[in-house]
Amino acid sequence: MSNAGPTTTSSFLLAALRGSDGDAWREVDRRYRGILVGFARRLGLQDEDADDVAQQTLAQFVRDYQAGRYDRERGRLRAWIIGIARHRIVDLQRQQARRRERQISYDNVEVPDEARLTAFWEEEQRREVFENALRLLREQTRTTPMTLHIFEQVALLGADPQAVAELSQTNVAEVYRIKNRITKRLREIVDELNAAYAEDD
Amino acid sequence: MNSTPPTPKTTDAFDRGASGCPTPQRLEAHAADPSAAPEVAGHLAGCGACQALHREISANAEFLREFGPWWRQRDSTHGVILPTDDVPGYRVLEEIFRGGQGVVYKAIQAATKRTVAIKMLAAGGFATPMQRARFEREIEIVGTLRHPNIVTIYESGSLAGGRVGFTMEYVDGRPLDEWIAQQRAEGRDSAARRPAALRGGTLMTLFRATCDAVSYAHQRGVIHRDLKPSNILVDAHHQPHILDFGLAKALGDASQRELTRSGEFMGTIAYAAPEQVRGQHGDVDTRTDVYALGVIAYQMLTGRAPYPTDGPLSTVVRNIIELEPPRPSVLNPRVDGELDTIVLKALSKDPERRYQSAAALLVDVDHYQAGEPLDARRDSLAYVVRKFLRRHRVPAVIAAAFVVVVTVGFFTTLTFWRRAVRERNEARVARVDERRQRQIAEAVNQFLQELFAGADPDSRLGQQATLRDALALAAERLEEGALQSQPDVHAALRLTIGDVFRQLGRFEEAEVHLRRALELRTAQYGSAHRQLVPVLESLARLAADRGAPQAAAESMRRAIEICGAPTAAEDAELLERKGLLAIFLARAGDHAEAAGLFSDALAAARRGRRESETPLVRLASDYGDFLRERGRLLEAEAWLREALALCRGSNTCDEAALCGALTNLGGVLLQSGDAFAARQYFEEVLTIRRAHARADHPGIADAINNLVGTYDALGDSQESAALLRDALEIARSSLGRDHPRVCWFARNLAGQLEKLGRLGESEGLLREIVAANERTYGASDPKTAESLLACAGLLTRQRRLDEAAAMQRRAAVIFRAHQLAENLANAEIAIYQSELAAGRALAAECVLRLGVIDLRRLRGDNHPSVIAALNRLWMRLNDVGRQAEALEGVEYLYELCQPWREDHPAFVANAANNLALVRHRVGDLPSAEPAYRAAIALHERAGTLSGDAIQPRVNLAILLTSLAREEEAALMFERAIGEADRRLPRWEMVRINAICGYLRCLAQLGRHELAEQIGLNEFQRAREAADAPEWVPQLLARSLADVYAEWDRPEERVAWRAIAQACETLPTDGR
Repeated sequence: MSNAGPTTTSSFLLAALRGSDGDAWREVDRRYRGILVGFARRLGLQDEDADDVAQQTLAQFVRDYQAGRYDRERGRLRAWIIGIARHRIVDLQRQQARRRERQISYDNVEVPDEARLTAFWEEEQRREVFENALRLLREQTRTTPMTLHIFEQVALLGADPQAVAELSQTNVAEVYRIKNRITKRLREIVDELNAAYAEDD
Repeated sequence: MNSTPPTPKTTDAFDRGASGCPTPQRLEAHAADPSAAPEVAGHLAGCGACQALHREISANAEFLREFGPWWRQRDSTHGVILPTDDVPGYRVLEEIFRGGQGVVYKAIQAATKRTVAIKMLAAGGFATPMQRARFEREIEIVGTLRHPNIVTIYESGSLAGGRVGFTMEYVDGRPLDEWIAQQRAEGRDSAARRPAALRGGTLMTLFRATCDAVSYAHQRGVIHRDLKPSNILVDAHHQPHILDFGLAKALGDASQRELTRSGEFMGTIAYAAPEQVRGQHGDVDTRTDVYALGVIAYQMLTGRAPYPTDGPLSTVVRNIIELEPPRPSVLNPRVDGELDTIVLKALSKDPERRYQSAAALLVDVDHYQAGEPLDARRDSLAYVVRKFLRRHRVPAVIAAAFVVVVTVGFFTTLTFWRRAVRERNEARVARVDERRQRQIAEAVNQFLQELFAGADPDSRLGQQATLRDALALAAERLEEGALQSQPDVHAALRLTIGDVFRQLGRFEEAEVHLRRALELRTAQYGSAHRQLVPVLESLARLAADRGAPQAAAESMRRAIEICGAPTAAEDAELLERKGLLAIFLARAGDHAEAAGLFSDALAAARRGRRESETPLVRLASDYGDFLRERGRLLEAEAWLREALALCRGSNTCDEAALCGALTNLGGVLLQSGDAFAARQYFEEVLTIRRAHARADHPGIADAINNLVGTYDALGDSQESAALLRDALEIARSSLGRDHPRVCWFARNLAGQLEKLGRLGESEGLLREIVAANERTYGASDPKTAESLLACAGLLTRQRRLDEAAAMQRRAAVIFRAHQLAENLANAEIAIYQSELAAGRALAAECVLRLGVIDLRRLRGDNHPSVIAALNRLWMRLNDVGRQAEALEGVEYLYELCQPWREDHPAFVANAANNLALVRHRVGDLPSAEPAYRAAIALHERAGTLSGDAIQPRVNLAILLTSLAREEEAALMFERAIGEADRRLPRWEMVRINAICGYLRCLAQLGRHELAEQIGLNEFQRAREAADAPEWVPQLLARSLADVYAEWDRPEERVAWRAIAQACETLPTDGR
């Protein structure tokens, strides 16, 4: 099965962006927005603020890139986006501190160091990949809900295959087959998705 | 919403290879631990296909080592891999919300094209079938809510993999907190600078609608428990729509969940009431929602929470429990003192000081919007009195009895449930002459204050005081001349005291006070004034309680006459009184007039449906019960189902009527033998009552008691006893030790304990009841005699026959003196059974004959009780082999009961069965058959589903077997056994008789193996079951011996005969 997700690698994508290609912009958006929102939330932002930060970061990223401010030789794409996002978050916190609008605990949240930020990003990227992989698994494989349920129970929750077979009115061999078949498919989708981010770091 | 199991595929890479290859599970075991499946290693070396598969499996395992933990750590709401397009019948458009319990999608229902929201719950594969069933039932209850400000639930169901979810109305709106923030940001409401503008403004209108919705749900027994702005969506017209009503409970207690999940805790603790954060989940009731409404109102008015809710959890909890919030007017100058009062009352730390329901809050919001004085202020009087009573340590029962006087002025209703409705009605009427009412209430209050103050501290009304003492003292003061100058107040107190005495079962004292109240009001207002109505109604209820339905009917008729042509607003009460009159008439034996009255009233209620469904529901419900009492179960069920459907489908029907319909329907189903179905309705009543009342309210004990009937019907004594213990505790703590209802529960519990073999405990309870009745009513009262009989019954069954007979004779003397025919008959039956058990056959027969004479004297020849007594006598003669006399008797009796064919078909059916039985016994098979068939037909007409209906079928099948019409007989046995399996406890006599007959029938048909299999199986179960009486294996063994005799296997026949003889005695059953 093909077209599991973004197959364009980052360098192709960036090349396309330089030519102000609308599809490329959408692809960047699709690839990084989810990660950015999760990343901002991890730094203590409310949902709405996290959405804003993601939007501003992506916009600035594209602007900077088209203005030629990004130099592949100087650093990784990921570190660059993290840098932009971090600035946006600190800006936002300053604004809010000035307004004293809400007594939320922003003041107590310090922006973590580089290594922590990278770790956050990686976790968010993994989350994004896995979430997308689940979505694609549902959308692209011709599986019944029951098949997914069996997979979930046996492969992910470690349920007893015998019990699951009984509950699903099928046999144990079929349960194993489903587990292996769906796991393999999911693994392939994850690999494909990961490939798209391969050049980011 | 169903799913199909996956179809096995054969072309898959993971299919088993050539024969001899290990199964995927062996391969997987090897991949995980090579030593676990050593044989696989050898195979792999020589099989390329399996090598490839093995590699895939290893790679999968490695992948799952990373993916699995990530997946499990995700928010539990993602617990289910939810394909968004697999809700049959719906097209899912988008995910709109992810929250604590699941995920919500916007979708289009294919059939109707309407936009709906679908909420899928996370529990999925983890939920047990019972949890799912419970969830679906809760949803069903919640699904009956129909209110413009409550998001309607359309349907619920299970999807593939046991996931559960429901569809609901889709609301295009934003959560209330966002709406408030936006309103404040836009300064839309700041244009209104004066309180008057706030009064009628968007804010108050929205809040009022919210209260109205919550109140509506409360009246149906549904508590939200998790009210907060994010659960309230506001649409473009500023209309609120409350989400997730009642689901907090269906899904497990919301507050408990919050306390264990710190991540979500902060969001909602702000709306938790002190009793919730204290973890007193038992105290969560309607007032908890009132509190949440208070917080919401506070936030709407001031833009902030009543207390700081950020910071450490312990601080927040302390704030909620201890910190008095600043008055809203301090934070928003546009808020006036009255709004302060409303909000702060809703926010009281002590639930007792809050509005007791959303309805009460709503009333004050209405008062506020209309510029009328608030109830909140008026109520403080009640609060002061309650405080006062508590300070003086007056027992809670007394306090409760009098506080009602102070708040309402009247206390005339039969039950708490009706009282709630009454309070509302009276509040409406009261507004007219509100001043006078308040004066009366205040005067009563003053009287009480003096009464108790004078008694304290070292007085006759000390801590040990009972309600009776308090009432007696109050009565004494009145006799001494207190309140002579205020006949209004005097009459109100007499009415209350009389009513409380009535409820205590002290009817003579009750009558004195009620008559005095009637005199006072007649003297003041004349003999045809409406002020007499509540007194007459109480007198009617008193007469009914005393077993004098004619007198009850007379009083009620007079009350109805005084009401005359009612105005529209009074119509509901008049209809209720007519319903009561019909009930009294029916009890007095005037069925025709009762039926006529019911049908008139039902017609009137149908006409008045636009006002409210309540009268119609209540009448239909009472009529259903009337039909049930007369054995017309199918009709009764139909009426009650209609009542229930009306009530559920309407938003004008109150919870009292709902509970009435549910209880009566449960009663019919139980009487029809369908205990499972009955249980569902009784459980719902219990849910509603628990939601509405204090945990120790006697109404809850009543509901539990009804529920017990369903467990009892299925022979579950363990559960019955446990439930009754609860009911008894509840009743004792609220009503005191000697109260009639407490005795009632104690008696039921004693019965269950006896079934469980706990005879000592059972006897102790029964003797306590005798003592309690002697204290309350005296040693020669019929109530005491009743309790003596109950106690004697237990002694008889323990073969302590002389002790028992002494008690039974004492009871018979009391009943004879009071001319209570049916009770006397019961006592005589008891004596008969004691004599029989003692082996004195002649004495037993004499008692039966005496019983017939007694009943004929008291009831005349043609009374059902007389027929029942004759039946006992004839069946006794039948049992002892005097068939000739018996036959003459049952034939006479069958003739005698013909007039009851229409009204009591089940009764006549039993007579027909007995006639057939005796004919059957004397060998007159041709004339026995039609009599059995008549019995079956009559039971079908009556809708009887109990063992009585099965009995003639079994008897007829036995008869057909002996006539060699085995095929016909077998069908009849099968049907009878099927019905018995559905309706009766496993070891019910009629079921075992049916099985034994069936075995013989099968043997005669030559189907020996089937007969053997069924017989052995049932015998085995009977031997293993702890609850099977001894005669069950014995009868089965005897039948098995017969089967082997027919089969010509003499050795087995002899063996089974011996087994049968080894079992003990056969029960001596009157039938």
